[in-house]
Amino acid sequence: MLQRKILLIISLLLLLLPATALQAQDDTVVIAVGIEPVSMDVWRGFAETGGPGFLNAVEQLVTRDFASGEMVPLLATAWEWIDDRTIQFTLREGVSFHDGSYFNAAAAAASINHTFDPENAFDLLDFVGSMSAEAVGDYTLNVSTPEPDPILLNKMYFVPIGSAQQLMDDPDSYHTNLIGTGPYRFVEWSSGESITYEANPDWWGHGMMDEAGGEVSFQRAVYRFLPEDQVRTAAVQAGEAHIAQYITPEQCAEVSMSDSARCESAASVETIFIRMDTNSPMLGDVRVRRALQLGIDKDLIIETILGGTATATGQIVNDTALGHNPDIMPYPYDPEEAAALLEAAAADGVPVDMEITLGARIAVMPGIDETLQAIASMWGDIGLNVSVEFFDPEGFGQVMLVNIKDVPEDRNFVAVHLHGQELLDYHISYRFYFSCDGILSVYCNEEAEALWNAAEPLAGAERDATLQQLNQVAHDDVASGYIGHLDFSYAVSNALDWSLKLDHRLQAKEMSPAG
Amino acid sequence: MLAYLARRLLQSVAVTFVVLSLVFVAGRILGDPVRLVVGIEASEERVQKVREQLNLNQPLGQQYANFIGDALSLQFGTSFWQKVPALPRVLERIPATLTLTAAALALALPLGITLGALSALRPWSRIDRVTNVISLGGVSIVEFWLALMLILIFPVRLGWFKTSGYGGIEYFVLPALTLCYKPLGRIAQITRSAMLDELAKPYVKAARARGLAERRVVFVHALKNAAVPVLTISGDELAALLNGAIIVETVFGWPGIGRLTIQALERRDLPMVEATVFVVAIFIIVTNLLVDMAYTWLNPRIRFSAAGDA
Repeated sequence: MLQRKILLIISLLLLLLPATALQAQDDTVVIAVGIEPVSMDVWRGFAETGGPGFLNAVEQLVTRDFASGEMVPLLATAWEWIDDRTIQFTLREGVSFHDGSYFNAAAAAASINHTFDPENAFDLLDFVGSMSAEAVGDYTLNVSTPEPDPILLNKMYFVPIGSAQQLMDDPDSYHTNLIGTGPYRFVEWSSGESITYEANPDWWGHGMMDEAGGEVSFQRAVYRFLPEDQVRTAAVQAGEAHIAQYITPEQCAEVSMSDSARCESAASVETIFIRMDTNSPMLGDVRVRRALQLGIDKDLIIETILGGTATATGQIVNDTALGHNPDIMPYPYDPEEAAALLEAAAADGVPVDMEITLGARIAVMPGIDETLQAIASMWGDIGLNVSVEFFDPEGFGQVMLVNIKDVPEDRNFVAVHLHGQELLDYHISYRFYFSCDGILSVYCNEEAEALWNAAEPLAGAERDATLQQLNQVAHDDVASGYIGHLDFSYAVSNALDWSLKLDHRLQAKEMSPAG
Repeated sequence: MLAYLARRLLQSVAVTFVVLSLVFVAGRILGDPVRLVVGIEASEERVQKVREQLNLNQPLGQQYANFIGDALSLQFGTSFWQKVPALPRVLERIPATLTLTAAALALALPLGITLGALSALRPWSRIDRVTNVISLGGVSIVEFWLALMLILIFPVRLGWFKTSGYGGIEYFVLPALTLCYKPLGRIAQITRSAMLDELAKPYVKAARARGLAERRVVFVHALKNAAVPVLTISGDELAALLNGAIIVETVFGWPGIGRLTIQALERRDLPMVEATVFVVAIFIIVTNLLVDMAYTWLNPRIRFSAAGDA
């Protein structure tokens, strides 16, 4: 009797459950991502992590062809520099936003100016710097920067265009309703659960696969928020999702053994680097900094801790970036040479026995705990005194967000961190982490600074050559240490045709059912 | 009774006020929430701009006065991150969490009581040893690990239920099982202990001597008296389930208040944190009041005095 009552109660409870399940269907592609966006602001489409799937709904004026490295048309069909601060874009005609309003120069200008309005203080302003737009014809748009900016065109890759009508009629909805011109329309953001997009029958790109960068193969695209990488992987293994974003090397290996799914990995623009307080009596000596790099077995860390999902490097940008220097090789693992350098420095009175605090942000990347412990152990082997400390995001911000002028000389702090150079330009990385006034820089080198300043107004091959020279100077002076460029991995269902690109974007127009 | 309830309600209001004040102060003096909002590479100019937008440039006293004024009218401001009013966003997550916690308790309570009672009836028997293993597992197990094991065994290996998400029965079973195991273990332990005490009391022997059926002796007389400590622990467990829900909701991608709390804390979204704490405090206060009232139903000898002694 009691059992029957219990069963009755449970059955009644289950009947009360909402029946809004997301069912993976043939016409739906389901993508499991790690992070839920905090709002649906159009500008968040500049990064996949902050705006999952946003580029389904919003598009940029130009995009990047990762095969050639060139910028190619999207909402703009042509462009030309009309002075060293301004690019004039010719816009595509016959395009409309999902709210029915027309895409033209006035609409594009309103969207860009809203994104870069200092009053709005959106993150993108910090990321790519200031710019403004002006409609000079129905389909002619001028985009300008306050100062000459040779990489303005590259930056336009990060600027999605949203509806000007929305900004005018219902500005509050900007944070909750994503309206663009893309192949999929935003349908719903179920907080804590998912974002749903549906195919846009009025998309300008139908039947223009090459020009539009893809085609619509699914009626719906659902981006589910699953913070745990193991659960994302399991969702693909169980056939509930087609793609699991950012999985670990172990999960990658597990998926690779499956018949129903595969693992796809690609180099990212994220570099694991080692920032040293170069104003300390110990780390100010270049021999000590070089010894630190020679004392790390990068290949061992990559193979054993990172599961081979990184490529050892000696510079902060990968080979897709302007300023990448192909002649710079990673410092080899040579503990004997490292010990000799430390001995020579000690003989000259450098306090090589100072305690080094080796720190990182908690969970900044898979395997960060083990990586830090391994580096500390290797440095211990060459006679250094190292303590390891992990920080929460805010604590880490406090120790990182400081310029060399404000760092106490006895701090002797070494940070292991990730840097992402999505703009593919070494000049910007240098500004943040190495320039004398950089907000994250604990390094200052007059020779390098002069090269950095010289590169600023340059473009093309000239800029590349100057930045490569700068990169070499920074390398020789051991401005920073490096482990490698990080690969990111995905579990992908064999029911899906999709190839990972270097930008790591998850756009449904590049996906189709297998076979 | 009414005087007692009125007094408890006043106490609850005071407790809520103190808790909210602590959250307000901690959120603002422990580090800089603006820096977390704008990111590590933001310029100082932008930091100041955002500080003004979020009204965090005002003196702390002024901010506190505004906060209390707004809280009294159930306004917790706009989420720093999501740009939507905080309290409605919290309230829309409540049904998912309540469904999960209610189901977990609905599973844990009858199962825990049944196992505990059976165990007490036959101490050191096989069923007692099995119950001990189950209950010890419940109180010891890490929910995160249990959740991942259930996912790997059922949806991935056997194709039963869903790994994650929110919806019908197939989405619901694994999170509810994960969440119910810990309270099940505790309730079984408390029930066993309370039942052993009751079964040794003279009134049980007298009832048996009068020829009452054993089932009636155990389940009507002994179990009802043993229910007071079980009810107490169940009230505590309901509050603890909210803690467990944070982990379970995160692992299973269940869109409840626990997951929202974690996101709000990670992003130092002060309006969202304050609204969440407010809602959870109200939930715990109401639960405690209901438990207090249930005491009198279980044991009519229990009376509430105006001084608050039960």
